Amino acid sequence: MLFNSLEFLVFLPCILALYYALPHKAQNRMLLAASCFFYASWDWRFLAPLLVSTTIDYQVASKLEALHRAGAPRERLRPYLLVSLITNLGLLGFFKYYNFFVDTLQTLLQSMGLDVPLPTLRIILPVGISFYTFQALSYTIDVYRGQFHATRSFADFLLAVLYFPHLVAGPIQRANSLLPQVASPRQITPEKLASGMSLIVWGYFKKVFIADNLAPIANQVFHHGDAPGGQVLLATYAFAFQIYCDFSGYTDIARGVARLMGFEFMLNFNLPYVSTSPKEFWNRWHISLSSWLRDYLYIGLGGNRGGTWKTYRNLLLTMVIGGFWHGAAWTFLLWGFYQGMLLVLHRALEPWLGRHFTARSSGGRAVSFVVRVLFMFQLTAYGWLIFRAESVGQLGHFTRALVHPLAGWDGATARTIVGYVLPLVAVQALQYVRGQLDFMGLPPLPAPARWVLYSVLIYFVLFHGGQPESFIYFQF
Amino acid sequence: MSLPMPTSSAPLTTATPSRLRRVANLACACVVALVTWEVCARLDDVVTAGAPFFGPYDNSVLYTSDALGMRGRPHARYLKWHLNSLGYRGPELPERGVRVVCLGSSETFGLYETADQEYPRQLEARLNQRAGEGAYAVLNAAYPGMSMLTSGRRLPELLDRVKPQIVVIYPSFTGYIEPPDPKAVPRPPKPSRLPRIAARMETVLRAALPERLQAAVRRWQIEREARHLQVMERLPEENVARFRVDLEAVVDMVRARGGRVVLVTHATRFGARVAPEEESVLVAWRKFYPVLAPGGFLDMEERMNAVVRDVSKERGLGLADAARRMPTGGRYFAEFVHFTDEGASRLAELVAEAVLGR
Repeated sequence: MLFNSLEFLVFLPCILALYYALPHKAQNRMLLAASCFFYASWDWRFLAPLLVSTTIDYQVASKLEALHRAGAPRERLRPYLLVSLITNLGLLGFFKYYNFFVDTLQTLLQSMGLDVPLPTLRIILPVGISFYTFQALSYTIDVYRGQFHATRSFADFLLAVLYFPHLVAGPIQRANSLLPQVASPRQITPEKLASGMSLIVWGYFKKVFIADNLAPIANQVFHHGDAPGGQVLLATYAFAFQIYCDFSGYTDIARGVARLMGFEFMLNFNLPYVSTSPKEFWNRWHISLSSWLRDYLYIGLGGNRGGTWKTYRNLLLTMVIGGFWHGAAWTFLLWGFYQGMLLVLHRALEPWLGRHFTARSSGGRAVSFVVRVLFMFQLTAYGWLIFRAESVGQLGHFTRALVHPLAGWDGATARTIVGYVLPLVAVQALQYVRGQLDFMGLPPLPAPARWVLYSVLIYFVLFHGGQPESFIYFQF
Repeated sequence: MSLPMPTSSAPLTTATPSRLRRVANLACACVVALVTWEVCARLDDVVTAGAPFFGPYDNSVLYTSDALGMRGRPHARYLKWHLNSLGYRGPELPERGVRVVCLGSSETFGLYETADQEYPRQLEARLNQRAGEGAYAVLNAAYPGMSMLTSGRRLPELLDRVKPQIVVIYPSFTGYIEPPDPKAVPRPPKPSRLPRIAARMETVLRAALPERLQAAVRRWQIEREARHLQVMERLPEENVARFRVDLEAVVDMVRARGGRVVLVTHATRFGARVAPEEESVLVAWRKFYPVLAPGGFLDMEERMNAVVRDVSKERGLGLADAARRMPTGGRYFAEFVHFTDEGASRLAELVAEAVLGR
């Protein structure tokens, strides 16, 4: 059941009507049942790995909590954490990476002249497994570290993991943020309802009007192996905005739906394309994942505590694993490596850049800011080319084509992309200038003017949306 | 301020002023939304189709009427449908080239194909591809809802004006389910009085609602309507005979003025039988003609097409047997009988073969 499906548009009002009519405990039970139904609507069998991992994580966390209370040393806690890690990463590895590793091994053996048939599995990847695995892991790790007390209610934990707005594509909510909201009654205010609705409308606009209309422009080039540089460049720009509007649109809808029920989800995107450096980009893009990787992987690897080279190694490793989290393909690994290298280079060059490229006057600072934003966008866009390429071979071919970026340039396609992206740029420029990320708070308009604005957005969603496409991040 | 959350079985109270205000606010928001959407729809038409902001803008702008009934309004434009100075769909007819006129109904006029992909346009492209640029000029002389009888009425005027060397007839049979009143003339559709946003809403809803649900609604509508009708299991023989008379009259008229006739049998999405997964499409077709039982449709097609083949054989006319040679299914037919771009392309290919005498 996709957010952009009719089923969801029927499902949500029914759930909200029930939700508003029930007291707190019953609300939670109803939400749990609705979330199971929502998830099972893809395939009821997907519930099995989800229930296995959550049950084990709950038991592990309870045991860890008991050991903490008994003052047990870390060594006694570690085996329990290992159980959770092995279960979660084992399930993720089995469903997501098994065939990739088998194929890679087989190719390697064949290159050595050994033709050993290895068994591959015909399995469907459970939707959202990467998201709920990371979410469940953060819970057991936090309890292990003593940063969070394990909940006593299995139902609450299950709901925190399964809660349908964030289940399949995030934001990756930390247990310490979501579990207290599950456990206590939620306050629903008219302001929350209004801002939730505005987030939903803006999210649908980004997804259905911008992302789904840009998708064919990108797909046309990426589905064919051959294209001149100008077309590759346009397709890459189209994809850069498609993936942003697709994923941030999903997140906005998820946050808006949660807000209608009084839940508050973390911000996942903070105007990422106005970043001036790779570091800033990762503080603004998919924040719930980047902060997860920072807190549980980068810091776990030692962070920046072991000197310059170890910091670089940790950055690279974190980003390569982050890339691989997106999917079992060499292009994702390469994308992670590319992002890691950008972070390493930026970290290495930052002092030098600061000495030589710091503008003194306000005008100079403004020009420098614009140049850095545009330059960073080009670097990010090339990253998206790696991410979107259908094979390493295509990536190589397209990279070579980009040496002649004007070959095959199509002005009409460029104008189409600008036409779709313009409303986003206008709104986000205002958001940046005003420092208000919430779409609702953007224009200080009277209520009727806001209704008109929302009606216009809904009009474009309903009557000028692209061919419905699945959310890109659902595959991860 | 928190919304008052219902806790238990609290008795319903009369609306407080704040509640009334909220309801009034909601009503105002709905009105603002509807007005905004209507303005957006009109501006959309102005920008994308060059339509007027005020006044009606639907398919009625394409038609006008005279003593013979409905006809195309010269130079009319509605969305992808553009009429030429003669009031027929397509570009102006060039002076040079062998003139081919395509007679028929909505299948020929073109409903679902993208602009210039309706079968007469594709036929012209194919003929000129084989015979050289400008060798043939094809006129799409069809309007939706035309039968052989109503096409025949306007034919003398058309033949005198266009002087075609070849006339291709792709007849539609549904006009003979209820035999047309010989005196009645087809009237153009009336301009819709509904706001423009209503038609858009309907389109979106149709696209969004599951096919099974739509089929169930249609079945219910058919049943309700059929209660007042005497449903026919199969088309009466006199209706088939009337079609034969009308078709022969048209053929004779063309031949009397020196034109060559190419007949085309009528193809459907289903072919010889309706596959179980296609039954909902048959239901959608039957909704327009509830007087005929489901089994009667393909029977009608078979018997009418037999007439077309028979007339072609008797008079030595060219024949494109689309009913037998067109592939079936949703790739070629957008619904029961109207084509997709690919379907129109296949039909154009078959007709081109018949026109060129291969």
